[in-house]
Amino acid sequence: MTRAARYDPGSILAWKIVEQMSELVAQIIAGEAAAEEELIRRFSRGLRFLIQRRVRNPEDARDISQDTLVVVIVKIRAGELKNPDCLQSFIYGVAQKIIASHFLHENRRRDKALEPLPEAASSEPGPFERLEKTQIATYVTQIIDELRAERDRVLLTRYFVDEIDKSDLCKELSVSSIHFDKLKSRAINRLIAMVHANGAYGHDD
Amino acid sequence: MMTKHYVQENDIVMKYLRGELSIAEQAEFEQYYLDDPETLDQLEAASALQMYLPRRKTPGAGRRWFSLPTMVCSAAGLLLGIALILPFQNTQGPMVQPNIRTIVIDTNRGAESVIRIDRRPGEELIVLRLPIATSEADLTLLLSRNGKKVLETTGLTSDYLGDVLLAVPVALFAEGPTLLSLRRGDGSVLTEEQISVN
Repeated sequence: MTRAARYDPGSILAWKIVEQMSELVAQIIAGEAAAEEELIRRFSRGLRFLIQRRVRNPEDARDISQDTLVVVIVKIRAGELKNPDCLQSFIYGVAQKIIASHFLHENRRRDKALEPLPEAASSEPGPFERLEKTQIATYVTQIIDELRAERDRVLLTRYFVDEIDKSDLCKELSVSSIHFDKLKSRAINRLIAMVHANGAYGHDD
Repeated sequence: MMTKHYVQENDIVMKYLRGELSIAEQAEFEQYYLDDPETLDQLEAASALQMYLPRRKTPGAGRRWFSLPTMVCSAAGLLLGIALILPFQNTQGPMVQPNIRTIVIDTNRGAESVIRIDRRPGEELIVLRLPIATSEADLTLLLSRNGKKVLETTGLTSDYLGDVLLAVPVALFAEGPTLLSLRRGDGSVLTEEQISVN
């Protein structure tokens, strides 16, 4: 799926994104280092999240993410991306192959052949990666403690931890779907806000 | 088509984290969030809530899942010291798997990954090696297809090489590509694989 397909195909935003991607690809082909850094900046966080769901540890995820971006850049430079509108699915395809090769231990053999990425861009962590896990756990506890109703605490726990479907949960605890959505969104958005506020500089007390 | 509205309305973030999306939906969603910081925020926050919300004893928790007992096999002949864990459809408790006969090596995923065996006439099992490169205990295996759970089994342990070996009935994969997810007790995902059996 291309980025454009996420929106109404006729929307200005969709076309702007397609234009941005096409321009980015053209600049990489032209050898502009800044364009390569922009590509890394845009996609590295999403790649790390995706890859970390497949592999064991964050270090492996970072390595595979970097390998993916290097291969993507090399392929774009070589003109192997025929349709710049498909940049996202192209990156996804490369990532899938590198993940597969990781499990077959092939990526280790290839390490030496890959060139290094611009360090600053490639290692930039996302907001959740900047904070210690214990700090995030503290925020989660704080969010749950702030809820006044025990029922709301149970709702969130049943949903996130016990993985009960929303509809089953609403029926079971006699709450409306709207109440549930508000509660869930509030918890998620509050956590995002806390992490963004405190993780921006890579440290929080 | 995956849109922001579709993602919100259909609870796609949580379904993705739980491994409940179909393989096609999962691939589409992964491409969707690749360049979308807002969705990544949602994913990371929901993932953190999953992981760090305090566990509570809640009535009925987990009843949605049918839990099958596992069978731990001492498969010395297969690989030194590897535990073979075998989920069964019945509730008769663990059984020892005394004889394992290798009949076919599935070369599609490499000989070291998949070996076909049969346990008794007419019943074919598939051995999956899940490399997690660490020593872990009390793991949970989830198999899902098109967003529906096919199997959940708990209490798995990795061997000293950092692999989890499973023997599961081939029939589980007969209806199409199946998503396999191996999780820790706290719900964090160690590895996921899409399995197809020819």
